[in-house]
Amino acid sequence: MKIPYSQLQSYFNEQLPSVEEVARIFTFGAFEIESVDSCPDGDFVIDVKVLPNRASDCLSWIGIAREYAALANTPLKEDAFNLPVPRYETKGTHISITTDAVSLVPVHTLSYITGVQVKPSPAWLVTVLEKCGQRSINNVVDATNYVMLAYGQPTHAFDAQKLHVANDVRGIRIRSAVAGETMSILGGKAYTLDASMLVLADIHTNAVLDVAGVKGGAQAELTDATVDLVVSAAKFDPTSIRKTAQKLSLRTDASKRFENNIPFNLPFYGQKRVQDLIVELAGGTIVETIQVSGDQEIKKPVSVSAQTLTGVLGQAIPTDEIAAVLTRLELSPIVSDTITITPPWWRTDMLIPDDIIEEVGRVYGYDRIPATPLPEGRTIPERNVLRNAADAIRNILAQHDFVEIKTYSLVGSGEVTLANALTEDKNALRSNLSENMKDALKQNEYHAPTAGEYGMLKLFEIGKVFTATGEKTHVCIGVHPLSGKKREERANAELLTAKSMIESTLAIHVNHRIDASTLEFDLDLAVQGVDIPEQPLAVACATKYKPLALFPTALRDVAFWTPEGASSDQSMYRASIVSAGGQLLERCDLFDSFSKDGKHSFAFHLVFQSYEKTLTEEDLNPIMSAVYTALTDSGCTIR
Amino acid sequence: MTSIHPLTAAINELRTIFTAMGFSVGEGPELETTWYNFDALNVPKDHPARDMQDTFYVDKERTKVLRTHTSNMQVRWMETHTPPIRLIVPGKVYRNEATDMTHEAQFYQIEGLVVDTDVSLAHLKGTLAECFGKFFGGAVEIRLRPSFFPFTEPSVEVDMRLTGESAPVKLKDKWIEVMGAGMVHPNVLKNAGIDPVKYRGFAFGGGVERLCMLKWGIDDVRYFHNGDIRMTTQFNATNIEN
Repeated sequence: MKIPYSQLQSYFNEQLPSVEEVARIFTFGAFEIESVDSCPDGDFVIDVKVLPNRASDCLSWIGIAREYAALANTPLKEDAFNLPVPRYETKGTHISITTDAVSLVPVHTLSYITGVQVKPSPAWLVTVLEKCGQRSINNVVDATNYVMLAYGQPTHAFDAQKLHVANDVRGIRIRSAVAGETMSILGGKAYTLDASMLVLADIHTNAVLDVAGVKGGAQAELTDATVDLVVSAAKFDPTSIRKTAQKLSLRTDASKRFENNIPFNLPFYGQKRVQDLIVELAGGTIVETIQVSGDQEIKKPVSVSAQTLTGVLGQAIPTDEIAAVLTRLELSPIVSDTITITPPWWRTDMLIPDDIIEEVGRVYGYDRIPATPLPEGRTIPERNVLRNAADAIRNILAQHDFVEIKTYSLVGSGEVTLANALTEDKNALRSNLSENMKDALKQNEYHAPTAGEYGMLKLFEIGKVFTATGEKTHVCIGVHPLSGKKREERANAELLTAKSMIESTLAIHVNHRIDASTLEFDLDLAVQGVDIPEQPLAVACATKYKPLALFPTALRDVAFWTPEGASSDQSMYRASIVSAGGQLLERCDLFDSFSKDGKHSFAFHLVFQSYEKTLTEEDLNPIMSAVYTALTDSGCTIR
Repeated sequence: MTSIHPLTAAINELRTIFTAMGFSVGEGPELETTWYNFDALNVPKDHPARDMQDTFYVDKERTKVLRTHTSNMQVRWMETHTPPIRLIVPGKVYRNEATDMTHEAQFYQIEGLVVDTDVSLAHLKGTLAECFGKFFGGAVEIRLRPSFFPFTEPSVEVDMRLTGESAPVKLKDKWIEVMGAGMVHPNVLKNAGIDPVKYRGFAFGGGVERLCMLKWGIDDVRYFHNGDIRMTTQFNATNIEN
């Protein structure tokens, strides 16, 4: 909800502090501030994040100003909401209103204003609307938008001449739409309605003029030639408006307010404000205003014990401070051992004792609450066998050079599909882990050397899968031989060995599914009836992170004979290689060594990685030359 | 070789921290009923509060969802346990929103729930101070700001600030938003069959990827679930001292 700093200031006699201080006061007392933007004229626009609990009264400048007044303990300059509720006639001589269902339309007010001049709005109004992201249309429409922003009450002005007259009377009937009925808006787009939607219709012709609470139709739209108006201010059933707006894919500033349950009295105040503003801007005469409403709602007092309040906030707050805070919030408190408040008509959110606790807590200040540890010895953690089994498996696999991955649960196909997927390739839940695992094995083939893995890529994932029978935790192991012969045999052996290790370590039996590269089993099933204690992770936690390189690694090997009689310690040779390898060398791994005739042979894998480009022969040849030189300089022979 | 996924490492650290405070660890289903994900948590149908989380629905009738938060475990656990209760729930959750560097359709949250006869916001502050102090290392301050969740009242956003020498340089002395929290709404307790007059509770929840990104300087949330091993191994990718 946007409010210009200048607009907020207009509610107070006292000079407001800086906009930063105002934002800080809101942030720690009531609302998150989405943004503070500067305007070319030196003003600021504060965008207040109004959440559902305060959307009834604070999607309005007056609501936000009132909050500021309470938080900063600065009184409002004047307060229309504390004047008696305006009351209008129940019957008119020029206009008439009727409502088919008072339960869906608890309040409807309608005024008849004649002799207006529709023309451009004055600069001050154009400016304030534009600062709040609204386009200026004309003085009358702008007046209705202004009141929507200022009070949170959407209103609608109809061209009275476009309503049918019978016996001198024009009118509005609020009814359910008829299935298939349509309404066009300015610009030509037509909406098809159904019987679940409320509309404002001409009382004589029954023509649809407006989708209640959502959008006005073109039928009775204002033009420059408009001279007489009927102006509607109402309250509608929140659920009805919400559903209608959703069905029509037409969520407007008006529908947002109605779906958040505007206060019962608001339309009476809103009607007065908008008709006064219209006459101020467009001239004319307010001929009459009528109302139809259900029973006035009575605000129930709410109570909480002082002991509960201070207990929940975790701090002793003197009763006079509690009373002071609640008075500032206009909650009419009575404070002793029990704290009782009576909410004013505009607060629809003060219903349970906990609501009082929140009001006191946030205004008194959450910063005053001391951080207190929980008492010890109240609970003993329950054993979570599934989690412990998963950790035990992680330990076993990690110690045998398997790397844990996590993949997407949302995939292209599966037994359980989504009703509202974002994209087609993610519109089902995975029914197994093996499919993602196969993709991961392929995808990671070229990354294996960066992990020092040259012989076989070994991965695992533990996660949920979803089938028609339910949701289970599965373990999936995947292997992909990177070099050497008999790859299928070795892969198969590796998978079965891993499975055996898991079975013997946990003393469980596993029913698995196996293919060329993956083995998968149901962990829920495997640990049924088994007790597995907590397993500390056997691997150290990571401490450093570098962004993943976008460019492929480059691999080279170097193999050499040492001079005769040389040490069999490879580390000094490795050090020369590393030194010659330079910045781009990420790994240097010994993969072969043997001795013959007093000489030693060593072979190293070298992994080069650039973070700027794909390395080419031109980049690597000089480096390899340097490596060879470093070795030959110490008497080695390159193989 | 560091072959454990960073999320596993983070969750295990958190688990160790909370187990020491007497918390049990729950899992809960990822494919959940709308009842446990919303209605039981005081988020009624056709209410604007449902808009606060973009939801994946499994059926047109909207009786089943991919859980939007780990809070779905709150009522499930409370139905089968009597207070005093201390619970954390680390788990995968789903949001129907577009993906970018800081947003993913699936991610991990960690939920906390404490229900007892005499629990307060002061205990919430103290518990989270203990948690983040141990997780990030060093001294930590906790700050609460007013907010709204349908399942808590009062509701707060939780910021932390790491100070002292062992605080990571990039985070030191800055206020960082880490969790949403509050006192468990009495309707939630009632829905779980717990007497809200005798007992009260606090709850908190936050993203685990976010904590990993803060702790280890990971800069793109999409790395966590795309199956790239370098996410796991690159912590040890180089065996060369530079």
